[in-house]
Amino acid sequence: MAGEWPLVAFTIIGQSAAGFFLFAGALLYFSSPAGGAGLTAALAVLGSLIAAAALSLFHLRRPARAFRVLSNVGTSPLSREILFGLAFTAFVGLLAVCEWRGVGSRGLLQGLFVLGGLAGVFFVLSMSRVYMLPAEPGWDRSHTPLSFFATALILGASGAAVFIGSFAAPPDALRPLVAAAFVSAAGGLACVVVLTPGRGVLGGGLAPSLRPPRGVPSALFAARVAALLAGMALLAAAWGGLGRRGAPGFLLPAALTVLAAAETSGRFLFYALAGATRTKQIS
Amino acid sequence: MVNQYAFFFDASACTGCKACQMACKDRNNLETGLLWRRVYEVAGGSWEKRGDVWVPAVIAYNVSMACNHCEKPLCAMACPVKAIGKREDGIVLIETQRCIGCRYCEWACPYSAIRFDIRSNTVSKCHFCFDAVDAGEPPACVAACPQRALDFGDIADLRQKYGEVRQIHPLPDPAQAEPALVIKPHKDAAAAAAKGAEVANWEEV
Repeated sequence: MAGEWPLVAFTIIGQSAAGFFLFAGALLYFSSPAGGAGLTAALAVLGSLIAAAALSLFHLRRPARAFRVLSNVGTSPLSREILFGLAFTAFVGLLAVCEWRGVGSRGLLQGLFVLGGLAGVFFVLSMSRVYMLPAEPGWDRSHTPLSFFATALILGASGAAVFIGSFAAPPDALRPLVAAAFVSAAGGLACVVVLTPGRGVLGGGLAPSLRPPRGVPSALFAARVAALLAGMALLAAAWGGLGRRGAPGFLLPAALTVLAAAETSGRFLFYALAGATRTKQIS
Repeated sequence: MVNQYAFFFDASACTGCKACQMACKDRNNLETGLLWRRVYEVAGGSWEKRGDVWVPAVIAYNVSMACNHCEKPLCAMACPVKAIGKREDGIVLIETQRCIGCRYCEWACPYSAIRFDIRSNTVSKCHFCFDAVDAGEPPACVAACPQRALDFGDIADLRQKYGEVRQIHPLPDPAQAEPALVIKPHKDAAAAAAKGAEVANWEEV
């Protein structure tokens, strides 16, 4: 489980980048509350995606051969994940270049944002398809795409709130982001409590297998639930503090940090499910 | 002309001696801990009251399993670099020089047949002793079995000879990968799942 840290980093950072791009971009290109933030936002997403890709290489035992990873787009979910990741990176890169050089009409920037956003959504979707393998009953269920999109929405919205807030945006610009982060966290919490394999209310299942049954650490499940609740409390406090000088500035980064910890513990729990085929019996 | 090579396993004849496992390791010079063929000991059951008497109603049999050179090889479909391919005779082979060591095929294989080789830093698996088979010899595991519980040949011939069964507890649903496998079930196998039989030697396989 701990050995999968490169994949934990890749998926969490990649999903957060997609969510952040969608939330921050929607405000910047369709509402414009924080002038001049477009280039910074694009560079932040670009840097995150490059960092995620670099960290994912630690998962490979022969990284020098990774240039062939697009060879099997026809049938390999892993190839498709990288393809959509590259498409997402390319659109964000184009947007960054346009912002940096000051070229392109607002319509062009909006078009690039929409295309990048779509690539980001497909990137997260393709990530979840990587793990939906019939041989892995702990992963081959609706919990996988729901939890991946929950991560994108939770960390994307709260990250965008912190980012937009750092540009001295008015409270009215921050409220939708804080609300989106809170609702996403509530949805993520419901997904965790109901669907987590082996732990959630409906998370059972039994399948014959030639894989050794593994225990799923209960501490990670508890940590994720507790951190999600704490993050939601901080978001609620930030919402209440909006408009009062100083309060959101402290509470929003704290909420983002706590929610990032929640999603990270949840992702380690996710990788612990590999081979956990007897999910009713694990302890 | 062989269209699809396959293994036959007679669960009713296997004693669990693991000669197949050792012959495979020996022939392929496998590293300690690396097994391309594994013998799973399936055990379960308990005491049952019949009338006024308690009698043992236990289940115990073995399943010898290697790569099943599936007709729908999920490992090859999952591999992002096309390092896994299928020969014209159905044998599924790994091109080690192409493997990036992502180990995604290990997750994808329902039979846990793909194993990581720390010597090459790539994945590895049973290659059906294709060099021996090409020379008209049997795979090492088949040749070594003292009970003649293993056989090999074209899947059509094996099905004609031994029947159509390809799944016993605890093997996964064969619809996932269409394994090139024919099994003669042990008499206890039908009741194994209902009686909660489990693999008893995880530390060995």
